[in-house]
Amino acid sequence: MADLILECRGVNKAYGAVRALNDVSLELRAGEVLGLVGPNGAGKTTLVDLIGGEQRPDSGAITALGRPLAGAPSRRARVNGLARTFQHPQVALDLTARENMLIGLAGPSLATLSGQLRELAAGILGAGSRIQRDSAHGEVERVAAALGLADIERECRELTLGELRLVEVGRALLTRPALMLLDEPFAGSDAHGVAGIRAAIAEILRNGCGVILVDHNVDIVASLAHRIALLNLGAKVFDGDPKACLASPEMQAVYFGEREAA
Amino acid sequence: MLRGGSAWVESIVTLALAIAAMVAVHGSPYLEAVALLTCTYAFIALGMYLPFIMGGALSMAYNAYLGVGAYAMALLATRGDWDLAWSLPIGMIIAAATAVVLGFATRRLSGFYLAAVTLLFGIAFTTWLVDAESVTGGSGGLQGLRVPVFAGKPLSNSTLVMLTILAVWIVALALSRLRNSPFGVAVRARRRAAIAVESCGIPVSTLTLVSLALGAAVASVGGSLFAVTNHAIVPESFAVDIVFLCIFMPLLGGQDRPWGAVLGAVLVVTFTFQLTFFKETGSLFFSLAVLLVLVIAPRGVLGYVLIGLQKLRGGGHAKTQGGAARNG
Amino acid sequence: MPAQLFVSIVEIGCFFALIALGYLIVLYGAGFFHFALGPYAMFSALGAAYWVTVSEWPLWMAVLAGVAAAVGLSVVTELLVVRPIEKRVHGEELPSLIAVVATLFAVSQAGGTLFGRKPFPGQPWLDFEDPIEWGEAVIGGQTVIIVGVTLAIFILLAAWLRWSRYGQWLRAVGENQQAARTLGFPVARIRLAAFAMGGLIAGIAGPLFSPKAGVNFESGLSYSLFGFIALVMGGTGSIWAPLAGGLILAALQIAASYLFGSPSLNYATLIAAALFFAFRPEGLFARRVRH
Repeated sequence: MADLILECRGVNKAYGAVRALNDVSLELRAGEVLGLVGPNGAGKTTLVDLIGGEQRPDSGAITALGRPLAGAPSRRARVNGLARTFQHPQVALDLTARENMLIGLAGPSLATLSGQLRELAAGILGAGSRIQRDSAHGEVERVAAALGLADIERECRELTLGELRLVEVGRALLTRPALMLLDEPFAGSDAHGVAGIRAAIAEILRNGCGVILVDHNVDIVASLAHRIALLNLGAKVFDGDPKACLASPEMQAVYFGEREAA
Repeated sequence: MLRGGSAWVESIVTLALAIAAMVAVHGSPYLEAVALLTCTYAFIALGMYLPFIMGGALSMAYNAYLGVGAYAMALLATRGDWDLAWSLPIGMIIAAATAVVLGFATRRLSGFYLAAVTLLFGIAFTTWLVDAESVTGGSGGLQGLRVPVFAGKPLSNSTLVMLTILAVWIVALALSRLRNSPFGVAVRARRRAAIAVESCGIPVSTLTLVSLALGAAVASVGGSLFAVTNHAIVPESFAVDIVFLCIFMPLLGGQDRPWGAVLGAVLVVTFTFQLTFFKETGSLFFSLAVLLVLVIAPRGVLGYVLIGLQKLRGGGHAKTQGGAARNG
Repeated sequence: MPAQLFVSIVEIGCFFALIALGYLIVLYGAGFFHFALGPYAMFSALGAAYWVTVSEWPLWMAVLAGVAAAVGLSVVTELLVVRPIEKRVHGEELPSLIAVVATLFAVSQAGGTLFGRKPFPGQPWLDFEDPIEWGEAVIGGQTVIIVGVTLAIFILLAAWLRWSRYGQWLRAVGENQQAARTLGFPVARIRLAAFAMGGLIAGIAGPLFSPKAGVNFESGLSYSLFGFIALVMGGTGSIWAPLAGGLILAALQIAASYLFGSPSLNYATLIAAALFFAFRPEGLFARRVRH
């Protein structure tokens, strides 16, 4: 069986009187795509924030690669091997696609004060930059090509939404994560954008990662995921095969309201 | 990334301009004085370039960094016996340390709040200059500053002018290279996508502090130069209004390159001191020009010059080299 | 502390409160910190003083002209500077901040160019021949005017916000311009009203307070800065919050000056501002967030 990348056990989170997550458990293994679906208010965003390290669970445990993750801020989450994309792509529009992706590669070298000072000196002198040395192997170009991103010397303000999402994925991939978290990558995308994400997921899996795919569009998620976890009102109500999930009474209940069994 | 070819062109063209400037002012005490003043402003503007223009952090305490450089130089080199080669770095270190302390205290602030607190700091600094008479000479400042010694020999005015123009060129070139380096890219990304930078494992607060420290150190050189070229320094010279000029110079000159900051310094000196038509109203016209640039022409003078050059070269595959176009 | 200092606290507090109120209105209506309000107050005060002293206008005319100038400057700033820039950058804060700082500087320089760079004393609106004595303190005519006008402005503004159409719209828009636009509010006009109102308040505050401390073309920066601090201290939760903030800041400054000498005014303001920003940036009267 493939490595266990992420494990959530009995995770609870409440905001004041509102119970956002109620005793949620799930697993993710390398090479697996786990779809996370559910209506608004189901707890998807909360779970994503907990896994990404932006929030701490009230109780329960989250471990990534066997190490506890609870409460790690987003930077340390990266050290834990997690990378994520955002619903609204967080991309510096005045920089080129290549420059944005380079930041992913630059992470380890700029993670400490001494690293930053070293890169500062290297930048002025024009030599001695570890990041430049790494990028000289064409890493950025390779990832961009694998994702289907053409002409990465374009400024990001000239790119389409789909391309911006790919830039984000590329940047995240360059941090060499074990787990990729894709947050609503299909929102506002056209068919071309969806195809791009599809190709991106294939590339991510080729790198040996696990993927958590969060989106509202259940059909697309079902077509891409190996497994689907359905959340409703903070609880996980289904965890299994995507086709089975779509046909399940739980899915009916969550999205269409209670119905009498046919 | 900046392709090797255009990097060389940039170095050579700007060096040629620097040498031309040295030649043009040589022999005329008046022009040499103008050149020194322009270089002083250029250092201040360049000090703003990394943290503010690239990184997007508007810290308005720059008069403090200037003042630190000036008073350190005045106390050590021009009234004490220290060699300029020592007093200059000391001023830079104190200024950098001040920036780090202030930056750390304000690390969670941004935008208007950051501007307000750093402005208050700048005002408090000027107050302290007047207050701390035993150190700073109070409101009378420090007088009797004599020409400092550099590497053992006293500095003649013409040598000083040439050294400073060269120094401005070196600093601007260094910032230009830094801009295109991975460190520079990270700083520039901080401005509009700090979350992204953080999510890649780069601590943005550290990045900001490093930029602020370096910026303060560069600005303090301007202050030190000010002390060297005047026989007296007074607190009024480091009042908070100079911060406005610091901000406006790189904006007017052009944000795309550090050379824009230098150009901005030239424009400021021209507007406010040279054109006798403007006389006292120079600052008003300058500030109106800045507003015009902000609203209509955000790339500044240099930006549009670069666009013009690209069009002449035939557009096509030429692109703004990692430029910060149309960012206001 | 001598009783007279309490009178000063009230006077200065009212001035800061008015500037802070101007900030609050523009914040409600346009989601924007109008850093240039200080120079508008300066321009109005300096202009009025100039027109009375040099052009020999009657006081009421000079003050009216000053107020009109402040309103005009504020409106022009919104139309020609803030709005075009916000439209271009979609949500990034830095360009608007830079622009309003540039406006602050430009208006100060304009004041210096038009009215000269020397300080002017203000012209009192009311002069008592026998000032009121209150314990050991002496209360002059202008003090009464300052307090009276300040309270009147606060009361009228509270009423305007509660009962007038634009006032109600102003409160609704706040920082969520996009949502307001979708809901059909005339956002452009509301913004304009907010900026005009801010300019109006600043324009009155300037000549109101200048008889106490004089004014020169560089005063605008500290007006803006202290008004902003007063706003942050008071908070944005109530129309009366700026009054609290203004009085607190004035008390802080005067107490510091009295106890430790006048330079400590700036040190104390810096420390207080840093503490408030760090620990209670929403101020004393926080805006209750409606979910």
